[in-house]
Amino acid sequence: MTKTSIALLCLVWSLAATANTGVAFVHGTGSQSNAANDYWTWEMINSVRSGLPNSNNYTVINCDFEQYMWTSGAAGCLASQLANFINTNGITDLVVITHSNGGNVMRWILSNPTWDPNYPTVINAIRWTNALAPSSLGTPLADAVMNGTVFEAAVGWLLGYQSDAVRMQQTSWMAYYNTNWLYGTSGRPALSSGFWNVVGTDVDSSPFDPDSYCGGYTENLGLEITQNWLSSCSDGFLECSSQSGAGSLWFNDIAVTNGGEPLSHSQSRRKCFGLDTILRNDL
Amino acid sequence: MKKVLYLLLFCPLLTIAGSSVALQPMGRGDLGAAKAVPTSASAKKMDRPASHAPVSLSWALETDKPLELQSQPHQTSSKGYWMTVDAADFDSGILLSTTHPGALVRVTPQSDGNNAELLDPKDLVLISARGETFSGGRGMDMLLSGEEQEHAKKRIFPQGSAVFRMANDLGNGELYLFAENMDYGSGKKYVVDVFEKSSDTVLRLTTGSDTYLEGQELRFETAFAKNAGTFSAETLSASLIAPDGRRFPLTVKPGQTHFAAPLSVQGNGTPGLWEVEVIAEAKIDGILVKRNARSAFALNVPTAVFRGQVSLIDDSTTLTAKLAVDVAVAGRYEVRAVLFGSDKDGQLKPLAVGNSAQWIEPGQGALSLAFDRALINRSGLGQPFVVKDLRLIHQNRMSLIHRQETGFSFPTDR
Repeated sequence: MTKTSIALLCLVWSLAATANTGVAFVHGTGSQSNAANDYWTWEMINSVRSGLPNSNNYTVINCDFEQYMWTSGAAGCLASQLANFINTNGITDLVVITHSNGGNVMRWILSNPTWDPNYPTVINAIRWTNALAPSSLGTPLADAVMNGTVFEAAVGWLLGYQSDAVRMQQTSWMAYYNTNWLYGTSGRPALSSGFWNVVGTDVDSSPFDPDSYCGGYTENLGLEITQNWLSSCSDGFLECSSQSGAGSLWFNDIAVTNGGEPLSHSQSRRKCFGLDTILRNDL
Repeated sequence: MKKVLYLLLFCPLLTIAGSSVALQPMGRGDLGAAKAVPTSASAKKMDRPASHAPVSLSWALETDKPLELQSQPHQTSSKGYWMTVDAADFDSGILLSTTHPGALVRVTPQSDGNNAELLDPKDLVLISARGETFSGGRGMDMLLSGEEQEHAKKRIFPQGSAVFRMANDLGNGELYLFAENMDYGSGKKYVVDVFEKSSDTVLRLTTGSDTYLEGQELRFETAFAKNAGTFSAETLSASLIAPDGRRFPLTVKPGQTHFAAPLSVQGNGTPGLWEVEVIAEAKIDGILVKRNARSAFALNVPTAVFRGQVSLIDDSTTLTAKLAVDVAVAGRYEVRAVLFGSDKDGQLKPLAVGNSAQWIEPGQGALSLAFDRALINRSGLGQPFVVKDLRLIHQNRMSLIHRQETGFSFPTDR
């Protein structure tokens, strides 16, 4: 079933059931205390939430995704904040927007419904998850950082500031977690709700190209470097195969963005090339 | 997909009156123990007390989407290698060998807890086998020092790293890496990491399983692969790495590709996976190939086991399979599985996923795996049903302790 046909069914259902729709923004690796300002920007959040029937029905998650995804500080925190949002606002139809490792933490909740008393509340309210550049199969960059440096704290905004999330996103580690703890990858049982991937396929970082400045020129410059460690299709941090490794493909960036522009790993969480409009219309 | 989106499919209500079936014998690739084992020090612990409240959730699967439930270990393919060197080695020269032009090189100071010194990549020197010297940035593309990375506001690799790509006109083969303006007597350590993205020669590493129980035998195989050929290593070493970083050497022999080692080690409660690390070299088509590879697996203690009996209860809203268990350590245990039903041609199709967890004290007990009856009725599938991918998990130990591709089928008699 395509997302369009599911959306039509959802519209019929929501009209019939007078659903109360909300949106949640779930950041990637890193410990956030002000993700709205620091990770997503208000420009992005305000544009996306304007697509809601009630634009106040939104929440921006702030948790510690430097930890392993199953910990109380990661998935426990995420589930708690989502459940609180659902209960406080009477949300019956929740669209979750994740970025990067946030997709893994969300997929932990969806795949382990008996782990925490808050999980069923969250699972039963979710319409679907829009996973922006999720690191579903991990990244060779995490392997490279861990090579020979097991006791070093991994650094870099891409990978987080502690080692647990970096260790977890190594490719053989994510292969283990996907086989044994997470649903939604090829050959495994599906998740209980749609997990729709937005895949970033390249990085543009020319100082003469104004598009390179969306999401931060220096961030994109860094991603041009890291692309050298990855296959030809990547957003600078994640290979396309990892981004589409779980759930279903919603779209590859250049298929629908303004001007057919690619979304680097920095740009796929920002108001770049019409991404905000696409997410807004999806609500 | 939310179960509410499925159209209702009416089919005759199927009821299975209370009955008992037996678990099928474990097959190749299945995981499980004969006896539950009490444990203490090696237990991985959750970071919060486990809930005692029972929870069950099931959801429908697409019946026309086949599943691959046979356990398949992950195969790692490595195109790189790394080594830890001393500052003095930058004076005597560090041998690098590449199979393809354009290898990526990263040199990272090992931190001693203080801020690592920034390496200036322009101090790095490459000397080829022919004696040609490349210094001051020559022979290196994409030169980026740790400071430049800082300038870029984002540190990509560990602090102080120098990163470059060998210029294509350097070709491939053996050359030596030196550094100028370095205190060779400092005793400082560095990691030199070489990655050959475009190489056609990989080192493959596969473990026999992605999950082991303490006391079982670790099996792994490793070999070089180039095009259609495979080659055993001429120099080989291997280690077992614990989640807390402890290393245990493994006995391996060059020339062989299959190895086994008893897992007589124990964890110490640190969360995370164990790894097998292999360091290998071989001369392939006259070129020295160096590769390192790591592959992760879980090592768990079977604190509970299935006793083999399954009682089925069907109350028209929920189909429940009560699986008898022996528990050695109190905890929150979960059973999860995939329910298959038969279509009109007798073909098994996936029907639903079930997950159920509850607290169980030591002794004989039962875990109830529940499926929403409405899902079964809507599926259009009927008898016989088979429960596959049956798993037993100790949640507060983050441990998978039983995995069985085919669990049980019902009803057993029409």
